[in-house]
Amino acid sequence: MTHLGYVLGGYLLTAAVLGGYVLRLRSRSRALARVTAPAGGGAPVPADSPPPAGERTR
Amino acid sequence: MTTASRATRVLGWAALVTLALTAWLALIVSPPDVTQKDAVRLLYLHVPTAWLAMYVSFGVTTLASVLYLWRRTRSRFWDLAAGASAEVGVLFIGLTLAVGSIWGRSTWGVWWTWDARLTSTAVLFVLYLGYLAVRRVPSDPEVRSRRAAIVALAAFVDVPLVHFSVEWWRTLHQPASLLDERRLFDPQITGTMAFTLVLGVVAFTLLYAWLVIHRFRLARLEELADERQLADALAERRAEGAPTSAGESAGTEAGSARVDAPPVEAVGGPVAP
Amino acid sequence: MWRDAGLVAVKDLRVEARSRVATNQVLPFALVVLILFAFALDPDRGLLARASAGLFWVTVLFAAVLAIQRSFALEADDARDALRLSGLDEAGIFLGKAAAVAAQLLVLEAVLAVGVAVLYNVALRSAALLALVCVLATVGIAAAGIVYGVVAAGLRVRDTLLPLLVLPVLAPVLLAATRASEAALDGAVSEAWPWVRLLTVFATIYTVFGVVGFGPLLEEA
Repeated sequence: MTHLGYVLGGYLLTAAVLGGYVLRLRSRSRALARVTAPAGGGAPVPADSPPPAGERTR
Repeated sequence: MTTASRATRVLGWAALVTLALTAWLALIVSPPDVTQKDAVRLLYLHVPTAWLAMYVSFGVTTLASVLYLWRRTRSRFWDLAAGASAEVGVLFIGLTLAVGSIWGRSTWGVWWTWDARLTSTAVLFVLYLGYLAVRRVPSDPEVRSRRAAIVALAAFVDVPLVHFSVEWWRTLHQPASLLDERRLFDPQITGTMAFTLVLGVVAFTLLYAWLVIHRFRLARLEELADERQLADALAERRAEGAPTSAGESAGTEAGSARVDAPPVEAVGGPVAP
Repeated sequence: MWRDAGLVAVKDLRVEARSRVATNQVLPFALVVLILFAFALDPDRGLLARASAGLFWVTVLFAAVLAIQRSFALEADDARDALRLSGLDEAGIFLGKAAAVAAQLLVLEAVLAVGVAVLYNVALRSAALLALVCVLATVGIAAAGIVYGVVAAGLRVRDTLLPLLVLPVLAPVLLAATRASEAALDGAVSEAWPWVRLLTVFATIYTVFGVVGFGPLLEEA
């Protein structure tokens, strides 16, 4: 591989790693945003939160 | 609720523009080095990420840890800031090592060399990986934050020791060929090259700030989510212990309301928080 | 503080004297590592003798991790709570535990040195310098080790977290101790002094850090 090949590889790797990190931050914040969104009226009931264990087993 | 805001949008665009400009200058406009030819273009990635990680990122983590430990300034803010900065720092150091490795391979034919700076950087990388691991241990949040802050300081104290010991190790009584290795990472920089390098540092600083702000807000969201889950769980416990007629009391999940509540002993009475 | 340090050190060493975990398990483990190195590095090619200082110190580091884990394992299940509720001065607890670990490591090192001399065919020149290096390095290892040991103590992930935390921190000690030992073994005593100074600085820094930081580390929220 020529020098330029290595150089481009390095730049692409950097871009990929940084981009991947940004995407991960974004997806995690979206998931959390749903969980922490304030509900209207009454108690906050986050639609996506799993029910505590054993709650519906009667 | 997202982690974006007008400030981060401005910052993000500024980072993107300067990064693009740096890449253009680095790859196209700036001249190849006399000895290394085009390989020197990796300098514009390697040096900014190294500086940002070592001086800015871990510096912020250390400072924030101190501020968290000091009673007068103690606040969740500093703990979350320390963690966010460390995570971005570890990311940047990983990139520093990877790019440094590629650089070494393209000029010297080896994927790794025990150059003083690369070696110190590798130790730093593992030191702060350990710090991040301590942050993830499940524990009472206050205790965990304090533990992490002290680990950050213990790691910081080690940095100059690592630096000096590795430096002496690689430069005392070494044959000349190894000293040439050091010149690999210290080429003569003038004119356009210097400008590109400075621009690169600016670009990565903006990127660092943007990433840390987002990571910090994400951590805040995570704490909020934990608090919310805890509050919900407590509310449920209280509702379970309430008398039958109040079976549909507010604050419970819709599906759990039952008119004929089970006998008290199954629930064990209201659980004190 | 000193009185409490003495109490803790004596207690830890007494537990060791009765249970003999260090002598029955850690020491043999270290000897096994020495032997494994010989398998890995083929004694006939002279590599083993040349690398003996480094191999010695790497073995000491591995044994130190075990010794530190043991130091907290012999407290009650929730080591940090037990230590905090004991009413002893926290800096004293740190010094006591570090001293106990250091004592055990020094004994280990003496035995290992004989092991290296015999198994790797190495002449132990400049014995006084070697002893000094051992003492300084051990103080640093014990101090930093107990600091990180209490961080990991009582956690379920303790056994994997402690090595990850403490071994990178001890990298300068490994470097300095090995170079100083090599200089001593080669008879080039003057070359060892910069490394000896570094070991002293390391030991001082982490002892101070431990004395100051042990209290906050033990504290509950």
